[in-house]
Amino acid sequence: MKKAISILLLCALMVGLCVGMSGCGSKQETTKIGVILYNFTDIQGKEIQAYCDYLKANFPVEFVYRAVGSNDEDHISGLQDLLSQGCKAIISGYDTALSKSIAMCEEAGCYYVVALGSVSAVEFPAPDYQPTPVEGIESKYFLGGTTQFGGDPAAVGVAYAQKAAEAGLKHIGAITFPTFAFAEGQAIYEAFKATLAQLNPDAEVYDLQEFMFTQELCNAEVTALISNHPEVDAVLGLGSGLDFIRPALQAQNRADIKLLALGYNDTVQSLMESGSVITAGTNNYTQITASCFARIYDALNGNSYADRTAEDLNAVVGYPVILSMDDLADFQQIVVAADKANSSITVDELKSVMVTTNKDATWAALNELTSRDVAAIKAARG
Amino acid sequence: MKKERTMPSEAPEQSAGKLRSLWEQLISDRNSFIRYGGFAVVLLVFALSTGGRLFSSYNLKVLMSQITPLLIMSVGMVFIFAHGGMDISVGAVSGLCSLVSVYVLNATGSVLAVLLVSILLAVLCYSINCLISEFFGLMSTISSLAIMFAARGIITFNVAQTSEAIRIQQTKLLSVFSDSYLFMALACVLAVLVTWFLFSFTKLGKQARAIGDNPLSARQSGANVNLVKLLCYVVAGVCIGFASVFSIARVGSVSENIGSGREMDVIIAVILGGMTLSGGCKSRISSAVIGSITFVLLSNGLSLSGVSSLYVSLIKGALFLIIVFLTLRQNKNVLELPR
Repeated sequence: MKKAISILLLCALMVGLCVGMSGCGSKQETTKIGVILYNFTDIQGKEIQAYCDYLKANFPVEFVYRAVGSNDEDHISGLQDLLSQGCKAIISGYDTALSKSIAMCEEAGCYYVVALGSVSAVEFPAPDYQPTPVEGIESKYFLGGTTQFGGDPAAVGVAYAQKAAEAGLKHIGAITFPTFAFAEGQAIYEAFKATLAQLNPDAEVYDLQEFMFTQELCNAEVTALISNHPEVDAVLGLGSGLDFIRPALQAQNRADIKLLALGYNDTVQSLMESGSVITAGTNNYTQITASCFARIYDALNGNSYADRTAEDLNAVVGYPVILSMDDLADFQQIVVAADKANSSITVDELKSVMVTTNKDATWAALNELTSRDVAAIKAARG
Repeated sequence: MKKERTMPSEAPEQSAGKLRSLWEQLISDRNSFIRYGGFAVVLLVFALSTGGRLFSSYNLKVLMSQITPLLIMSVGMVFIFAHGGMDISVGAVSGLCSLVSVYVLNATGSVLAVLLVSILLAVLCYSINCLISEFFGLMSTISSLAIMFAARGIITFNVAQTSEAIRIQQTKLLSVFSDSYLFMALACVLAVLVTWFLFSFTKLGKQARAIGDNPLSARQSGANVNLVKLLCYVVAGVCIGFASVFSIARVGSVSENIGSGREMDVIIAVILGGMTLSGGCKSRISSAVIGSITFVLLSNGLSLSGVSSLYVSLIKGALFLIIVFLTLRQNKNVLELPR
């Protein structure tokens, strides 16, 4: 009897709370923008967060961060939590569960943009691989994806091949993430291979290998490479070369194998000085964040670019490469500058390419700003 | 002069005795206390810390969509935990059912076919799990580990065959499972009522609990232990298969990690509901119901309160340990029966 009364009281309390507190909440003076990434502890997360702090100081916005797992369920749960917190826009690192995410955002009246990858209007699902329209891609709440490598991933392959030829590398393996996760990897590899063949016909580039995001699987691919090609003297590390492939080489006691890496972390300077790493590079996270923010801010204020068409699904951002110690110094000073006011895109520059703050702003100008290479940024700084 | 009669004041010893008796009652019925008290505390704390956002109309929908698959899975898993079994293949089997559901839906366009196939597949997996455990004498954890690896391997193999996501092509077919909150509520009520009836009023539930207390005694009382365990796994499989359709409807596509970690969510939910993992007579369907709601409220509330996701797992883990300690700690007067 006592238990029944307690349960009834509890239910009454719950109902009372639901009725009494529904709709309560502090009045929002700033607009909340959610940011979804796998984690905020690596350079990607830290750089994005740092630039968001800079934007927060200069615009009436606040950012809410959510780290999610790589599976669709975690992504959807994370998105739901951000929407529950009243976010009016979401910057998602990935196109995970894209159709579902857009549908949820549309229902909540929230804008959605993909920061770390391009999206396409059609996909080719198994098993018949017929093109199928991606649901929701035309929604006004979907602000598009982001094309990396300045829209020309092959240029990275060409630059890396030139450095490989300079360094006299002759037997080069290549390891990357699967195509569905890193579509540009194949283009970089092909350009690298073709360019190196021209610069040094004696050089040999082995077949491209793939691994699925874990260190163990990367170790397995590196082991296979070394077993099949004991003469290998370098690896084109397209799958987070410094975070995965370098440790895999060390685990094989083959730190003597040079690395042409896509990636950047705190060890790059010492590794380049020692010659273990020949090239490095990473996305310009300032440009990525600025590009996403510009689209969001204009959308929130009811503005859009006059020159942006339905075909312009993705914005374009740059990918600074580090080919020398001078490049590294410039990279550290500009691309990963601690003070974002002196980084790749200042607030004034950003305001000049947003329709909300400049009626003459254009989509082309936004993409030009967000895909500047380090030399162009240095020139702009005077 | 008449002396006024006054009521004798309660002796301090009597008050202390009442308090002691209340404490002893609390200890003996601590599972109920954990179940309802935990729920009330979580609700109150997050109602206040989120400034009421916990009860916004959007968030209530979110809670419903998150509670539904977890609750349906948990009420099924009570049957396994009640007889002292353990299962860690929930996530993998659920993921496999979701994968097959996508294929069936894309091929046939029939929701009924999806439901049937998902349920049958889950029942098959769980039946194999039980048969491996009982006929080979393996611990239930080990047999479920085998099923987990097998199911996860099948999912990974299928996902790796294509560079595009395996997704539902006509999402509107399953929209009732993802967008209709009334349907979700009805499904939860149906699952709870059916499992509660089976657990509380049929031989299956009673014998499952008896086995959880003492399998030898249950066998000597006439219970067919192997058959009861198999039926418990079948019930769990039906629930997992049914809940998987809600999961895939919510997400819309299959990745290699689909369902990952779900087994821990179910275990934590059931324990938050005050049920001991050793099973026995104190097993309750209400543990799964209240525990599932508490678990989702906890996750959602922590997130809405602005707690960094870095700390959410830590907090959940700490809470889990506390409650396991509270529910496992036996009264010294309770005889530990041989298993």
